[in-house]
Amino acid sequence: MLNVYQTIRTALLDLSLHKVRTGMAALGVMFGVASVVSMLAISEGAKRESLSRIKSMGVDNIIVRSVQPAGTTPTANSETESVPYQAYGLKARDLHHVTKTFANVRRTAGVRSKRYKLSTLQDKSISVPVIATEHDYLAVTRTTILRGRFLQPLDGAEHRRVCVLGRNAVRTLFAFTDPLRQRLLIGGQWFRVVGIVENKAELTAVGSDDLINDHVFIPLNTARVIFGDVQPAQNGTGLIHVEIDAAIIQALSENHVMPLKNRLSNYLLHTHPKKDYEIVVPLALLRQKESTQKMFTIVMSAIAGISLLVGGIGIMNIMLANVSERRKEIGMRRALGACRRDILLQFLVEAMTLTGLGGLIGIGMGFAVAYTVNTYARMPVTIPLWSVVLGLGVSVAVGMVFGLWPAHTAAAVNPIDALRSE
Amino acid sequence: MPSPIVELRNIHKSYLIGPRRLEVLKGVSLTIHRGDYVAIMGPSGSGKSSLLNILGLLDVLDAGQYMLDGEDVSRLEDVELARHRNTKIGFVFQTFNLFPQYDVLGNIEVPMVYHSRPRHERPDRARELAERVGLGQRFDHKPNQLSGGEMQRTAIARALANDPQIILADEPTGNLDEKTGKGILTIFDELVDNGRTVIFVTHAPEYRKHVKRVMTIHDGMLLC
Repeated sequence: MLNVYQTIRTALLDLSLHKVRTGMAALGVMFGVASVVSMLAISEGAKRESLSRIKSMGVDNIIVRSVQPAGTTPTANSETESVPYQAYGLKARDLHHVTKTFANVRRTAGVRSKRYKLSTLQDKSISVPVIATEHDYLAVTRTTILRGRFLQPLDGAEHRRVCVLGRNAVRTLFAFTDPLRQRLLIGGQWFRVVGIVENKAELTAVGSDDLINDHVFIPLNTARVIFGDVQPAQNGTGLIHVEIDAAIIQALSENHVMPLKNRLSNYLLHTHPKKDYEIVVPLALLRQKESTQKMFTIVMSAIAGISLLVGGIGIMNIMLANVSERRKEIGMRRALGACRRDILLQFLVEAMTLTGLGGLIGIGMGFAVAYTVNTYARMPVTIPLWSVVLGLGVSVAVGMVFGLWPAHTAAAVNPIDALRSE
Repeated sequence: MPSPIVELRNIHKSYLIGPRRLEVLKGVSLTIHRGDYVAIMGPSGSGKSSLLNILGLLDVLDAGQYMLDGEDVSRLEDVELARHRNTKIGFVFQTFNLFPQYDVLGNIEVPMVYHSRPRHERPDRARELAERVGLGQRFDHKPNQLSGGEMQRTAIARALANDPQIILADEPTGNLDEKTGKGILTIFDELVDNGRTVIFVTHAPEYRKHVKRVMTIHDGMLLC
């Protein structure tokens, strides 16, 4: 019978009787949908970014970081030394103990990260982030070997001077030569390249701001022996002694994360009374983030719902005005063969076309707001397809719900009275 | 003798006006045959408009029987009444009642929409009707760009959209000057010549010269 295109075209013609008034009525729906789309874009963007940051630490991992105890600085021991000095943080023996005796642990990897000036034989000299770590680092970060091999337990045990390159580090260091078996000068010592690895998820390395793929990896034990555990303090006054910057401890499964965390904090509480460590549980962060996100979504939906309600009332108002103004037209349509249902549908479709159109413009405005926020406020935004579908669906639904009463009024118009009225 | 196209038997109709019941039609009976050219005349308040509404199936009767084209239409549902109005009756009003948002062809197509005539046929049919009533080439004009005569010609073309047997015209020249009115009445003459039944409802005496029969209604009763 009536096809959709034709029906909507007719509805547009009918609505064109009062362009300004109709446009004003649609403003409410427009702004409602625009706020829905733009707010969803902003919250989705924020959610994706924070979730990917949390997930990059691994949901079945627990991360323990060495931190300088609050309010302390390296101090000079007046009797023996003159240089301010401070030792803190995780010890190799802590990690060893956890790995060997904790039941819920699958594997662990100690990490030390630092930027070094690196030189190749081709005399390139670039500042590259270096991670000193252990064999299981590959597994806990879900990194894969592209060529050669990763660090092996024996590399550390025998203090071998070997290194593995992340995919991006290969590009910065060896643009034109095959890096395998090349030599690399790290911190004044020659290391041989034995492999190339890639982290497909493009994760950020623990204890660093760079991607895993940007790093060069050397054995943790080799680093401790060659470079030692003592280095200048960050603020330049004195020396600090840190054995391990961070440890990634992988639980047997997600379910083992919280028991493991409890046991770990219990153990560290007794062995590190100075609180020179920090435990980060990505899973807990994830849960917390998800629940705050849920609250945020509920609040936002309520706000969007109210603005759509207001918009819908505006539509109802204008449609009622339309009906009483077009009584004569309704009467004439009835005389020409429209039954009550035809009239009802006509006004319902008009209301839905009006709000649907408002919704489309609102979606466009939502895109504009999201783009503006992204460009000028430097906030990440994501416009999920479902939010566009939701925006359009909701606006058409608003037209249907709030158009129903005016449409009923139109269908109830008595054609005789309507035709007689001047 | 073929069966009459319209047959009213003892029609009663009353309206509630406030607390009082006002009897408007007090037992009207009439018979109109195919090809008849009839004027129902009477002063205002005589029940003329009520009779028109009942003949046009816009109103339902209280008592009596209405046979339309051999079918009893006295007590039909809304959808059935709408279908009969759409296909069997064409309305022409004094005030034209065109749709201001549609052009000439759009106005003529409205009854076809409710008749679910295939969409591709509608513009051709509308154009043909517009030409038949002498609208020339003013197809894409909106009603406010038309003269009174052109508006009434559009309304007649619209009434003819679904090829109805009966044309009901309520004071069709009432808003037109004499010369234009004559032109409009000529169109009705031609419709009768082509076998259609035309019923005027009017109080203007000039219709007498055109029609074959005049019925006079007075105080809810028909005087023949």
